Amino acid sequence: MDEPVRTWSYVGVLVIEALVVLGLWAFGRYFSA
Amino acid sequence: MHLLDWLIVGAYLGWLIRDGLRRTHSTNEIDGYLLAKRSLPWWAAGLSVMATQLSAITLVGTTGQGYSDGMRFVQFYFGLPIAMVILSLTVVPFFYRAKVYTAYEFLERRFDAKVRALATLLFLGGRSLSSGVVIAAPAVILSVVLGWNLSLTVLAIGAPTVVYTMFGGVQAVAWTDVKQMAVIVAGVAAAVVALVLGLPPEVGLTDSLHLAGAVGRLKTLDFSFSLTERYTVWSGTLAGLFLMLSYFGCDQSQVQRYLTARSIDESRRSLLMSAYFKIPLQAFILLTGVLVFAFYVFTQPPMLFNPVHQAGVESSNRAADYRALDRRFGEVFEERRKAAHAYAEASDRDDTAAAREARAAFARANSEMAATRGEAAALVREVTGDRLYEDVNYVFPTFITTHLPTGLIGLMIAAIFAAAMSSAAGEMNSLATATVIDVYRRHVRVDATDAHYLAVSKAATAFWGLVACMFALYAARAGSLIEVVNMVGSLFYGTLLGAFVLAIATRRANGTGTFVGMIAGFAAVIYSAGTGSVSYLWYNVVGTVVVVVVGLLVSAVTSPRPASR
Repeated sequence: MDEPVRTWSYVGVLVIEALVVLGLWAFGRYFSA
Repeated sequence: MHLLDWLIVGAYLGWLIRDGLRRTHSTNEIDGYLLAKRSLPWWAAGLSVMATQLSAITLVGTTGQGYSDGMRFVQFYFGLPIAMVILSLTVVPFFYRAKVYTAYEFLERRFDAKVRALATLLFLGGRSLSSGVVIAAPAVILSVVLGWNLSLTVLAIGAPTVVYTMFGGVQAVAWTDVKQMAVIVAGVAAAVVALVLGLPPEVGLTDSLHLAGAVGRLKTLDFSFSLTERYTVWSGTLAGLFLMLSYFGCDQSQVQRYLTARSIDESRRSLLMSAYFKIPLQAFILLTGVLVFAFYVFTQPPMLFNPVHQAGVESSNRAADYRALDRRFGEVFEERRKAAHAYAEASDRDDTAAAREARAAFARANSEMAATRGEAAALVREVTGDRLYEDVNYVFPTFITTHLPTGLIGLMIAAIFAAAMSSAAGEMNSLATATVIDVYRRHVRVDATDAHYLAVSKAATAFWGLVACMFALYAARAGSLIEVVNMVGSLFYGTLLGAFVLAIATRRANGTGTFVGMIAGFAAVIYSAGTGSVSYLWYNVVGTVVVVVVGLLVSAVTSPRPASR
């Protein structure tokens, strides 16, 4: 895989991780309520 | 341990040594031995990055954190994806195009020999001791929980690591890391399945998670702002960002992993792999700890998880006090267990009021259990004189050895070995590289043959392996020395990061300014640690800022003024 890493890969990883954190928060909130 | 478990651990160790030694091709040249001729695919380099970071103490400590404190430790990693993006865009192309073996070589090209020497010294000083600790810490836990001989446990982890790292070089380190990550993930996944199956059928997973949530174990985000609070969204994102930038950008034990990739973009992809998977993996390991908590809601846990300390208190003149606490612990456990069952029954009936009442009773009993456990721990500290006593790291190994079925115990012990060996191998390999490239080839023998440097690299790996094992044997018996070394090891990161920021982000900094800035930054970190004014995650911020500010000021003063026309 010699294709260059494109800008959207960097933005994509940050967006996905933000969604992961949001998911963890929602998971905790659901079971803590 | 059952014979089958011994066979699994033995087979794992044999497989690893055999595989490591098979990887000696292309290691007859220094470029192959230290950088795998930059031939690794991104996923192998990426898994090697992750395996090096995930030490045995991370594995058992994180599950212990999940058990005692819940999921909020995951905030510690919030800065990691941002750091990986920044590093992919900045240091990766710089290091790769400069064709360096070590990060510190780059500093001499940008500044001068003294900056490189100071950076190498900080790295060798910090990492040489920590390579012993990554072996000693799990060895102490396994020897306590399983009753193994401590020295033999240290050697069982250290000796195979030295053998395959010395003969196979970075290829062996990277490809064994790939397998070790697989063993770790398989082991933790198997433990999760066993934990879920071990819950009482009438309670089940959903009710257990609600009970864990009732006592704050599933709370992930803490937005409070405090410089002395360890794990908050702010410390994890901002201070954690500096820590991860330092660790992945300036620590040779990590830099060397991604310099083995085939191209700049494959190096970048190997770092982005951690960016994608680190937070989910840590959340999964923490959740395993939360499930251990849920399991011990229905099966009585020991009041203290370190049997050696427990035996020490029971044979002291405070034995009567300890027994009284243990009785109370048992009684409160029963109350908590009954409240948990009452909650599950009320939930089944959709009786909201009864469920709320049972949940509150559960939380009360849990607080009382925690208070009793706290009193017992205080008693241990008083009797043994060990002021730093904590048994969080013993929780998961105790669960593994007392409640998992035969076969799975062997797999989990192999996973703990894998985590320790992958971190130790990466450190030995990088210590040898910095010693040969930054010290020997730079200051001792400048013009030797490739074969000579290869032989010296193997000797340096053996030397650092021996140092790690010897120090591990000493540290394992020296009580709280392990914690002290772990703390000291984190002091040099901010200073290194400051030097790299000056190297890459500014044109004004010169060698003298950076050198003085590094000394000032290191002094500032030592001062912060001594006064305890900020939590340790912020040391890197302090160090970096001081290095950059002092470095730029001194550079401005010492740079020759341009000649006037």
